Amino acid sequence: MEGVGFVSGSGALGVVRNAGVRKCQVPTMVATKATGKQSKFEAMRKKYGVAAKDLEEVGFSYDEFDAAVADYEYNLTMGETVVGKIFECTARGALVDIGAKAAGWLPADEFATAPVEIPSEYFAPETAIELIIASREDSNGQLTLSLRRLEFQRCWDRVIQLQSEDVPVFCEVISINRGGVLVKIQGLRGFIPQSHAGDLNMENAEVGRQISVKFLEVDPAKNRLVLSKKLASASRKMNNFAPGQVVEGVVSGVKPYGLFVDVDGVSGLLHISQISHSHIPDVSALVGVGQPIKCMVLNQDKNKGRMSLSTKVLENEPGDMVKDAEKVFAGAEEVAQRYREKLEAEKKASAEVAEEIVSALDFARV
Amino acid sequence: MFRASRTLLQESPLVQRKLLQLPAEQRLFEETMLRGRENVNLVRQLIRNRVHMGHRAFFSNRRMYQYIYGERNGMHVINLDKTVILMRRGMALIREMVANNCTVMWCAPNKDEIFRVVSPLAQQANAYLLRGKFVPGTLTDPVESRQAVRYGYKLPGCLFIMNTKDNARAVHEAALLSIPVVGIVDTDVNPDPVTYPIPGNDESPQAINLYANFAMQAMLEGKALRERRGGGSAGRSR
Repeated sequence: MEGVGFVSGSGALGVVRNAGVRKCQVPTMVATKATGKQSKFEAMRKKYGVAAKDLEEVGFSYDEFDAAVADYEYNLTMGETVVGKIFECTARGALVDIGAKAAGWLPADEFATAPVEIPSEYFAPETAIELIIASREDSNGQLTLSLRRLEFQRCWDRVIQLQSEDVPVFCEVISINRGGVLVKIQGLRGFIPQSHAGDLNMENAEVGRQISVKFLEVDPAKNRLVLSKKLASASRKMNNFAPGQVVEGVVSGVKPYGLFVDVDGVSGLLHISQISHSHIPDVSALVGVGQPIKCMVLNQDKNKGRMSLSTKVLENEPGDMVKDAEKVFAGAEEVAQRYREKLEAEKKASAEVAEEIVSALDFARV
Repeated sequence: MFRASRTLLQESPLVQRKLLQLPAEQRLFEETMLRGRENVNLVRQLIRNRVHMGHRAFFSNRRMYQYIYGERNGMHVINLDKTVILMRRGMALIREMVANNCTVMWCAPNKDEIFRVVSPLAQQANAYLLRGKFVPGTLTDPVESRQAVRYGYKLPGCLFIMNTKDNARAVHEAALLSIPVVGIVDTDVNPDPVTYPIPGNDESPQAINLYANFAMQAMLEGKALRERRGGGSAGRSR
């Protein structure tokens, strides 16, 4: 035997080729015989009395080889989504057939968004799954893949879509801390600040409860997902408070700067300056948490779910709230009515003034 | 640089004797000549299992150019025409080895996922599959290296290596001892020291599964051949 070049008599494939590397980006494959003289293989065939093979007998030419190779051609870049078939799954990770030279490697950490208990049994062999290519080819030509990244992308897309639809969605409470509540929604972790927590009980017994929330802030780039329970319940109850309306609520929180009053699920701030005309040194001495209170709505911010309240305007005489709160509440309605009328009058007056100015301008132009 | 010549003397005495019953060139030539349509399916099977895919063009070994068909998307494509012929040749050798009562030693990739695929096939074929590193001196100095237990205390008749690049040491030792090596060579491996190189992909687990299956088939055929020829009464039954 001279060498491999001899034995590889490609007689059966029916064509003879030049040795060397060819670039076959152009998919035409043509048999080229050495010009003029017999090829080595022809000579060999003659020597041993073997008949030459032709294409019909063999049925496979280099053209077909080329076409078959093109079928399996692939061009995979980082960040691309591919469909792969699981070849083998172990505790460290899984080999996935993505049509490339080397099987892609899916590490166990990247199986799902949450850590998996038994990685070796997570995938059955031969399942087809969609993956994202997480890295460039390494020295062996192997690509690292990730399922987790793809799932996260999808979760964020879903959340953004839900936000645009502006519907209340359900989420599950994970933990409660001083600042607010950590929840799990659509596979992502979100946060409800305490100001938007509404009437959630700040006890650990709440963990695992499903609550309805709306989206406040959705920012995938910064990985921020802020939700609001108040908005969801407010929209559900559709509470509309007009300015000047007298409402009755329960004190839900006492702070140095005022009171938080919960009116039918909507929380409003009764600022210390709005409680009474006279100075109040200590708010907690005046009212305690859980006490009923009547106040008037100054304005309501539906977007933020906040409301400004006041009892100062309900006082007949300045300092009434401090002295006798009950009397103020009793006469609240009449006072409110008078206040509203006053507001109307003011509005009308300012409108007239505005009109005069405008008409004067018109006159001037003319 | 050690260079193995691919003459008949390279093969072990037993195989040599058998093959010399026929004019050697004719025998192997006949063996390895493609038999028409029978091989079309084989080529398609090889393509399906990604045997034709080589490494990036930049990494290719110059001595593999004779086996490379061309370049596609920056990756070299192996000429399956030659792979088929050399595969038949290599498997014929393994078959003859087993038929003549010699052992065959397998070397496979150490990666757990691929090893798990090869291991049952080796067991079925009664081959000695080497797990882990090929300790230098396994073949040349079995006493000192204490590795003889891994291949049954008898020097193997031939070696079947599926990841030739990592087992260059094994190839070298076998060449020193005149043990023929049937090795899968990828485009970035030097095929010269390998006695029966089989150009093909060594990265894809499907391809390695295919090679192991072929080798197992060859070994089972060899065993049947041995029994047909009159049983392996002399020597071990392995």
